[in-house]
Amino acid sequence: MNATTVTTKGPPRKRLRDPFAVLYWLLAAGVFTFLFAPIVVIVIYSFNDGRLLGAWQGFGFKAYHRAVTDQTIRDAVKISLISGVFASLVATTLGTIGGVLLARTRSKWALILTALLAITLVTPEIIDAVSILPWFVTLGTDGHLLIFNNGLVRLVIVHTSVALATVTFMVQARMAGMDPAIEEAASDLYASAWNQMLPTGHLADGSPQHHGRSLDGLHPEPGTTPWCHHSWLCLAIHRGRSTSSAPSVRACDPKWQRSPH
Amino acid sequence: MSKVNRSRSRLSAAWLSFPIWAWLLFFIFIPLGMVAWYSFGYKPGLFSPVSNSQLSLDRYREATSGTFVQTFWNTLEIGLAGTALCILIGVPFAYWMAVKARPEWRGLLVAMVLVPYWTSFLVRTIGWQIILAPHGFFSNLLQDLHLINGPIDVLYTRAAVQLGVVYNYLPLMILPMYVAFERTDPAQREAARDLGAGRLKAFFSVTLPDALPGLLAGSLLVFIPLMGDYITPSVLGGARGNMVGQMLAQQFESAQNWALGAAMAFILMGFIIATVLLVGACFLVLRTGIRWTRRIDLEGVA
Repeated sequence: MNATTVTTKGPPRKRLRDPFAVLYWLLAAGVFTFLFAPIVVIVIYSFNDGRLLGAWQGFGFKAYHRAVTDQTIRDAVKISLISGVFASLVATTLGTIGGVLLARTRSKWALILTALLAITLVTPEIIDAVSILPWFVTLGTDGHLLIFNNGLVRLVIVHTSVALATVTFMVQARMAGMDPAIEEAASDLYASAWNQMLPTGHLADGSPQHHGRSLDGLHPEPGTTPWCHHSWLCLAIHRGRSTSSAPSVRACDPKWQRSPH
Repeated sequence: MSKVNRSRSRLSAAWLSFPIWAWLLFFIFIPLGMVAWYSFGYKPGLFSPVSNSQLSLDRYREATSGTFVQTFWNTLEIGLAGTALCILIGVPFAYWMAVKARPEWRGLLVAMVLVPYWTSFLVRTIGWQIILAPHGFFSNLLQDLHLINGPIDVLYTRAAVQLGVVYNYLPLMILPMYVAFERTDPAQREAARDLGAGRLKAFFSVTLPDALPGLLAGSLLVFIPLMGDYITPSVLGGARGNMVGQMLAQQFESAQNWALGAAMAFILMGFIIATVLLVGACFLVLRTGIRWTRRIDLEGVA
């Protein structure tokens, strides 16, 4: 009854020209122009043959030639890639452990851990950076732990610290939505604790998320922080991933069970 | 069987949690504690960044006086205005994405918000540097169209920083709002319209209160990193658009006055935590208020 009234009412209302629709389209066009403008500009100006970034002096590939031949640039790219990969690995490993723990235990330690991670979330990156600098100096110079004098190690550590809370809260959000019966079933079927984790795709959620932003840093995920009950990034990633994921993974996924679209 | 399993898993859980505790302690809280300790010290001489042989609160006094306090206020103004602008742009945009746009486009739209966001922060900010350059293409275009008389004078001012932070943090407002709006019930909106509420009234009294947690999360996600932003004011701000992040980084780098920088860092952090608590309290009050007024309405109807 209800459904029929909705369907008979729905279409004609939609067909009416919505005066707000034009405004929405203008807004959308404006926002997307705003979001993409500097990126498009950077792409175009990368073909600038002039020496100054902003002064156009003709089209060419000089900048690209330099980028692939200049040893300093190549080293910098290499260091970025290596530190990104290692920071992702370490942060994903630690964050997965933390997320599973927070989702599966309810002790006062879990609360303390949440609070500490929340503090790292509200710490501006610049404070993370300036606070770790004297500590590295202490460890490396005064403590003779020479590994902390290595710039690459320092980068991996700081990026891991910045991403840790994000990954933890994301994994926790996903785990909290998952039925513990699935894990119990897996353990009844003789899967080890580690094997139970793997097929559910939580790692796949946290890792690219962090990797994409490793160089930029803070990427809070509000899913389970006290001020919000939504997990928007999981959702966003999930949407991108869902088309390619195996049906079995979808079946495990609470979001697919809830909303079949 | 399952009991044994569970107790074993609880024990291994305690062991498993060791790495994350160790990491938090060793790489986050010990360094923060050291900086807290430094903030009570002083800079003894030209070649030494910090000494704690005499403890005092003088660095906090120093950081809250003169030019420093001016920068704190500037940062606060930029932060509040930036968050407000992100709300003004992000909320209607997210509403369009989640409610008005065709459902099959939504995935693409979310991706189109995420792609700029995933692009390097620094690169995007440098993109604005090119656009805002007084003798760049954009400035020339505007002059050719006779929209302005001289070259645009925005780069290296506070306006440029304001634009830059709105640009950099807008996705952090759009995405939580999108999820919040997507979860609101279209039937409730229709009910509101059927009961005679206008478009705006339905939005402000039904949809928006439902999406309030998203608004709260978005505001905090924008405001917190914005207050500590270092890259945007460094690239776009110049001398006329200083922010706290730059100021305290300067104390650790070029000025080599770790004590003063540490005091600034803790003032900033205390400020951010106070804001988070304040916003949380406002949210609770607002929610209670909404519930209270609605309850009276319902009783009147009954």
